[in-house]
Amino acid sequence: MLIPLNRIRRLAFFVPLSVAWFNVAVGGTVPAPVQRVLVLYSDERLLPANIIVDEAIRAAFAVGTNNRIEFYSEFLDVARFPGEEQQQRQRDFFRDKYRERPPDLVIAVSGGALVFLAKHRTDLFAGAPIVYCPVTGDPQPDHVADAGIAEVKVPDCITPTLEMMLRLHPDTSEVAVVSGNGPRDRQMADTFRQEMTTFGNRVAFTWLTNLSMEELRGDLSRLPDHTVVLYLTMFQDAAGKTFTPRLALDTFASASRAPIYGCYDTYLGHGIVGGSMVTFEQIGRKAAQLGIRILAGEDAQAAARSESYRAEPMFDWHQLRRWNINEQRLPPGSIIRFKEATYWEQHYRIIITVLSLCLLEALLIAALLVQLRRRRLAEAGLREREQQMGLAASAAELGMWTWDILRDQIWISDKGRALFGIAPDTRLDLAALNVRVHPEDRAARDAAIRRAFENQDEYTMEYRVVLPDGQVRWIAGRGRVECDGGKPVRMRGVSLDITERRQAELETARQRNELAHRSRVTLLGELSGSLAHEINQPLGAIVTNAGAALRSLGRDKMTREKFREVLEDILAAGQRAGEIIRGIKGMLRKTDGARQLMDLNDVIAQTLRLTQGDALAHDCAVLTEFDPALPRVEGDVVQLQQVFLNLILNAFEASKDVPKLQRRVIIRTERDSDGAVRACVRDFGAGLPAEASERIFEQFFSTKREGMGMGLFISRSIVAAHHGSLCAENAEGGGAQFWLRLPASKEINV
Amino acid sequence: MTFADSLVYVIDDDMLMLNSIGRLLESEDYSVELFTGAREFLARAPHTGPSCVILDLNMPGLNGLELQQALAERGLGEQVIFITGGASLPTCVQAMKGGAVDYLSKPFRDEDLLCALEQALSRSSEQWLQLAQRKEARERVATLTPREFDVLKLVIGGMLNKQIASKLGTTEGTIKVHRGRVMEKMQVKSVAELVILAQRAGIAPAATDTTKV
Repeated sequence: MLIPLNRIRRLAFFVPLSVAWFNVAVGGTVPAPVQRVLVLYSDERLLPANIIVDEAIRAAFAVGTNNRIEFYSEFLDVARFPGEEQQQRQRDFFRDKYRERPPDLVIAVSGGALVFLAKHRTDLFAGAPIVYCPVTGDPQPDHVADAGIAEVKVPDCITPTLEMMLRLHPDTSEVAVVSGNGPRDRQMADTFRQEMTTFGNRVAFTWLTNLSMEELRGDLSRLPDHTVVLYLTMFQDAAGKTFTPRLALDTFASASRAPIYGCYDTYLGHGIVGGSMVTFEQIGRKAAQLGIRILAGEDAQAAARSESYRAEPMFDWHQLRRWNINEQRLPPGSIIRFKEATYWEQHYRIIITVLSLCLLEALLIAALLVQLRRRRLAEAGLREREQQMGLAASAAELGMWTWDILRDQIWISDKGRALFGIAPDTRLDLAALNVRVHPEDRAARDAAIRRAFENQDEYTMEYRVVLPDGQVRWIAGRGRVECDGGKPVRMRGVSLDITERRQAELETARQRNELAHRSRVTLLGELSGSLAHEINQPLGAIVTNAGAALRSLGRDKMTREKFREVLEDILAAGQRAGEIIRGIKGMLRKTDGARQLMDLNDVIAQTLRLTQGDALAHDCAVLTEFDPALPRVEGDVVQLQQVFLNLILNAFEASKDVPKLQRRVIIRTERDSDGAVRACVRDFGAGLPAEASERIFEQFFSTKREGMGMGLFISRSIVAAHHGSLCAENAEGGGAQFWLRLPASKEINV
Repeated sequence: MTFADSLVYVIDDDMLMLNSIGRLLESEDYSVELFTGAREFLARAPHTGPSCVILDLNMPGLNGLELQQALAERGLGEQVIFITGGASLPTCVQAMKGGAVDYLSKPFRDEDLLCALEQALSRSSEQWLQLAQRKEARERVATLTPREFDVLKLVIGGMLNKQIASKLGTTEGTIKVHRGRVMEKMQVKSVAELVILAQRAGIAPAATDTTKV
């Protein structure tokens, strides 16, 4: 196998580096040396204090050193196995047991263990430093002078406890001291006896000792008033029954008439009210810390001096309650154990959470209420406005509506529904509404809506609706398109019943039309002579042609060609007569003012056909100058013809006194500058009487002897109904001219 | 019946009417000329002979009545028949006063027109005849000497030769000679004939002073 050179080089570089790293790694992870710690307890294994101390020691070592610690525990149980012989047997046993595994540190818990170790120092665990872990009540050892024994002094707890008892029970006259009968008990009692001497003159001490448990219970139950109990230890009663002191306490505490105090925290919760105490946890922890320092090479004595315990007043909350001791009276810094957390303390998180939730809810509710109130106020305001609007709308008989174009939904007020004859609470769309619109008006209404859409502006329309009972009403609709992004989305508007106004208008229009008609009839009556001439002319041609043809036929001298000519002439003449009659008939017709689109030039031309005869009769020439590109106008053809007829006949009349050869009437049409259509009828007569250019339009004003004075009055009302104007002036160069102006039809835009 | 050398004019601004009348008259073998206006007609050289103008009363420009007046002033003896679309009494009266033969309202029966036309042409012929006779009489009168003319006037005045002689201061015989020559020149056989002729020539009888007789 060939390996490229550069690859080998890279490997060569890599290998020594890897080795160096390996060395470093091995150096860094050298396992800590195993250190053996033997904890030697004076008492039995299950003494609650021992369990606590053991746990505390192990816990403190766990956090205090990185070294691997192997723990060994031994229990002397000096209370039950006292005596020198026993100790020697144990010494031998330990020596054999730990020969292969000598401890690096020995912790002696309580005085018994220390005494044992000190006694066998030379042949048991020789050289191993000893940490003495004293417990309250242990007698001051004699062996601490040994440089290898480090001790943290336990402060006196009995005196402060007694002080505390007397302070909490000021009327105490007697302190009953409970202590057992075992050697340990007696040892403790002795230690206490020394302490209590300072209290001798303040209170009487009664020793409840040398009693069996039953006797003790009996004595406790018979304690006089103003007595408090101090419990030391009871490993054994007078009957020789052994206990752990705590178990003993459990047994007699309930029988006591007086509150019991003690100096060990293990008693708390088992019947004592409290006491000044150094906790066993503290004792174990301190011992361990001291051991760690010593194992680390510190001087044992120096290390021991720098450590100290702290005694703390501690109480059982239940007992405080039982003996009715107010927490306020406890010394400052007191620790109360087993305080049954109040519901608040137990569940304060939940309570806080619940309360917070409640508060939040309350706030929410409050906010909602506020909002509700605001909305109510707003609604009330709105309602008021709506009512005002409604009032205004109902006073004005207005129907209001909104058309959602996208959904094709129409909201319409009750009045609006009434206007359209639509039942309340039925859903409405455009089609449903359209059903009500008069069939003749539907297309126009649709167109108006479409226009409003396209131009995005207002919609205005007057149209008829047919109510379910067949009644026809006029509605004026007015609306506005609302757009969103340039797209019509909504149309809002009002509808108004204008039937009465419309009827009045129609009545006015009807009267105007009627008057116009009468005037037209009169006018045609005046014209009848010349009209007859106009008709007789073609009739004459027909009759004569026919006669000529007949005569020729009789003589058989008519060529086929001539005969055709005759017939053609007859036809033409007949048609002409027909046209004139139609024209007259049209003029005599009653019109309803219906509008249609027309070319004003045509209107004038048709009128001139009727006035030809009269023009001849007046020997008056008629000249026309028509604008061929005139915008169309909207109107009633007959009525506009009537206007022109009037103007033209007036012009003929005005031309009467003009020398024959100058008699002429000029009719001109043109587009106005603003797109309107204008027509002018001009004569060359005497002109208008001074200051009468307006009066001539008045009713019953006439300059003609036989005139009724209605013609111009009616003409002007007709033009006004066409949204136009009619006025007169004297023309330059003589004569009068009448101007008729009409708006051009909107159809131009289409 | 038609009159020799007669001509009928039709004037109407309405072509249909004009043509129809033209056809009618042609079918009756009249010579017809059609005009759409009075001025065109007047521009034409007058016809010598019986003629009739069928005239529409209502025409732009020169109207019917005015043309009638113009024709009368010209004195060529054209007879006028008015036709009109719308007859009004005043114009009718005026037309008839002006010597119109007839006044027809359109539409008219063709025989009415033809009848009127016959009448008009006959009138026109009559006029033309009288005209011819006067002309003849005047030509004959023109051949007379002044003395003979005087005698003529006195003769038609109903004077006897003796009276004429005394009036003229001459003898009865001389007067007889003059009288004979007058009768000869005037181509008459009787005094009655002479009187008619002189009348045609427009000669008024001389005033007679019977008291002197």
